[in-house]
Amino acid sequence: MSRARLLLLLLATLVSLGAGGEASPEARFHEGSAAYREGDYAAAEQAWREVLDAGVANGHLLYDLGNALYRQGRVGPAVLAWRRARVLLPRDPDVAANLELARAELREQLAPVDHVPAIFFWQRSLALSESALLGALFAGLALGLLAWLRWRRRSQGGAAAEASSLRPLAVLLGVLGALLLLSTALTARALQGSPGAVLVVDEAAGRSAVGADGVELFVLHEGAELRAVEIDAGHVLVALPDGRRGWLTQAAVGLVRPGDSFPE
Amino acid sequence: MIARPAIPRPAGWLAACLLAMLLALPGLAVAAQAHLEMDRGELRVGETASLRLVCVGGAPERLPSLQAPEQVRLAYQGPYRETVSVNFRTTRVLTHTWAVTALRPGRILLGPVEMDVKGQRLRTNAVELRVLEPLQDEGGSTRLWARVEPAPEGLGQDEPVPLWQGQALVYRFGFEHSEPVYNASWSQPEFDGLVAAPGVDQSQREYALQRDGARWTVNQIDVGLVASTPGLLEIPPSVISAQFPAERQQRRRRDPFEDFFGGSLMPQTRSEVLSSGPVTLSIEPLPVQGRPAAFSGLVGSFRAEPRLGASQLRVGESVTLTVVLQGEGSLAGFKLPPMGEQPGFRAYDDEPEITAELRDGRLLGRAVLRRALVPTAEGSLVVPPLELSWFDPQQGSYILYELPPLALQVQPGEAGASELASFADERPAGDGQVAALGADILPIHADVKVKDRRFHPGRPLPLLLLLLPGLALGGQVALDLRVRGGRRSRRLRAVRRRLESLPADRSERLAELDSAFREAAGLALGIPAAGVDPARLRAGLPEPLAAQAAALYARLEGARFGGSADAELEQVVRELVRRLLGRAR
Repeated sequence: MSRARLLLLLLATLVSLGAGGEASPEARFHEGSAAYREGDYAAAEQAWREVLDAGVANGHLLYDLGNALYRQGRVGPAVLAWRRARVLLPRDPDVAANLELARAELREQLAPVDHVPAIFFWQRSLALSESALLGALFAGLALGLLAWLRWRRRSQGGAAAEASSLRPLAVLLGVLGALLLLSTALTARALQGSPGAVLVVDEAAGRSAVGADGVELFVLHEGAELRAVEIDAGHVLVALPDGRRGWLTQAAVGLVRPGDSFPE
Repeated sequence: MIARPAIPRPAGWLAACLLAMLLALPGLAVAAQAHLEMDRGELRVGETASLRLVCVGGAPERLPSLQAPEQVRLAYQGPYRETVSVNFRTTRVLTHTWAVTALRPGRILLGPVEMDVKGQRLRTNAVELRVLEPLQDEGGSTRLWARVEPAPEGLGQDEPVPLWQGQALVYRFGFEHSEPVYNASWSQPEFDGLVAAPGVDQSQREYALQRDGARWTVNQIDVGLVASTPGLLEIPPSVISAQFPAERQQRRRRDPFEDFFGGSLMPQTRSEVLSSGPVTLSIEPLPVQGRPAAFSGLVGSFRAEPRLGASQLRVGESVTLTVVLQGEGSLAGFKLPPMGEQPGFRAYDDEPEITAELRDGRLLGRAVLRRALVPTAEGSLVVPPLELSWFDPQQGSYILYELPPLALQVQPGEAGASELASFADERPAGDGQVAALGADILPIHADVKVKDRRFHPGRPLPLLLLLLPGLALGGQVALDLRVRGGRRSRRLRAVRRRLESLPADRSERLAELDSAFREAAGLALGIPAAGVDPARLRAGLPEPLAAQAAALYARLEGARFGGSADAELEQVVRELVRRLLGRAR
């Protein structure tokens, strides 16, 4: 067998292996969309869950998953999906509208706990990846400008006037970039440390201690929006907007972290 | 030579304009006007009030004569002239004043007055005055009274005031006092069987009158009411609490503090609670006999004025029929009677504009009622007569007012023009906003690319954006440092070479040693050699190197003038240069 034939055979094997495997996330997503349009919301949910499980955390995907869950009457998981979608698509009006509609149906009308602390005004308008990219862009521009100014001074024996006019711009860009990167770090830390949480079961009791020995402090219902303070051994310590705290089982709540696996 | 035309300067134009304005001012002067006015519309026998003839923009050639009816006596008080300037316009006002003293009860008219002003014949209004029976002289310096208007002439003080059910009335309360009053507070009585006239606020006024040579102040409050319950009703007495100046008491001792805070500055007062007499009303139900079918419960003395916007129009256009109903009585809630289905046109009523006010003890109402008529067929159109009915308390009978039929000429209009989208009473809810019928979630996002959008700190693009310019800057800095280091090491080597190959000539040798020392000191201090001086050496080098270097600097200066360097100096220079170069490295 010649070398060319051997290569062709190897290529064909690879292609056939790829074709014989599972559909790509993109194709599966569109299959879910088609199922949703046909009214098969369970199939749509299944398809979109598979895309999520394949490691694709996308705002549009989570938004669509929220729609499929809502159509099946599962308001709690729908709220969780839309809350996660809002982390990735903070300016999307559809996400906000659906979330508002679902919140009106919740049994507990708690003041929504946002997923980020509002230190900088742009934190609730920019997704993490956006603020990171913008921060890197501004900081990179500042560094690039400073490098260029240094090169000009060295190569042309010092263009003092040009440097004096451009240096403040470089400083401004650098400060902006640093602030954006700082806000990115703060938001990421908040999402990791004490994210929002949504009750995804019909009803759950907040207890004073982990396990059944704890005293029941309050009872929450599906879709209640909380803040996770601590996660420990299959339990989550949640805080209500009025400051009360209680332990819930981890299966009862979904954390507003887009990368986490979506609860059943 | 061509003569230039004279061009007026801007200042000249300005002056000319001002002069023209000044000349035009007399032409803008207010035409002469005159009117009669009086503080109050009623007096009791024995009381005196002022009547004023106010002439604006001109004075009568002689004092106008004013006829006094037998119920009053007039005494001329004199003229008063004043000049009023408003918006650069000056107006002269002349006021003649008469003192009007009531002699006998009755209702009279003072005026009108006729007079000649600047050759112009002017006629004023007449002032209506009601002279009442005198109050029983109770002595003292205060009087309180309450009564109801309208009250028929000659009604005794204790007799009930006859009214009709639905009739508007004014409860009038008066507080008269001839001494100063502080902190007066009136408590309104309960008006059982009466309701407050809608849209009317109570009015309050204060005026002065002369009584038995003393000046009295009168505080008067009017409340608009409507009789709602037939039968004999009693309005309980009105109560007022007030403070009056008190007689100063003899003090036992003088206290400066009391003199300052409680004595000389703060008035001593006494509090009193006064009450008026009750008022009795006799409210008759409206008669059933003679009640027209069009009667809708309106009670009062009204007059109606119908007005039609146009008599010719096209099909689909609208014309407004306006009916103004005004007079004494409350018109709250009144509407035009419905017209029903009419052939050839449709009718749409606007919201009525209803106002009411208290004036001279009467409740005056005014209603503007508008009805839009939209013809649906061309030709001559007759709007059927409209009947309005009310009960007139003064006449004690029902009035039936019939608006005459209205004739309209309707021209052909555009196709479909008569189809009206909406009118006043058919406005959709929410003033044009789309009514929400339900709520649902928004559609899915189908036509999007689903890529993983999670935040990863190690994503290549932000890192590249930061790293590339950072590397560029770092490279620049490293290059600069390297260049600077190379330059420095070259200078170090040069100094060492100079010390190794000193010239043989003593003076040249000294100069070379001095130069090498300065160069080494400059390298150690990080400054050019020319900038080295003892002060910088002391400031920039650690002890004892600084002191040694400064001493060597002075010694080299001295040796330069001495012209040569001995072997010991040369050795010292070599040693110190070595140490300085070691520090510079």
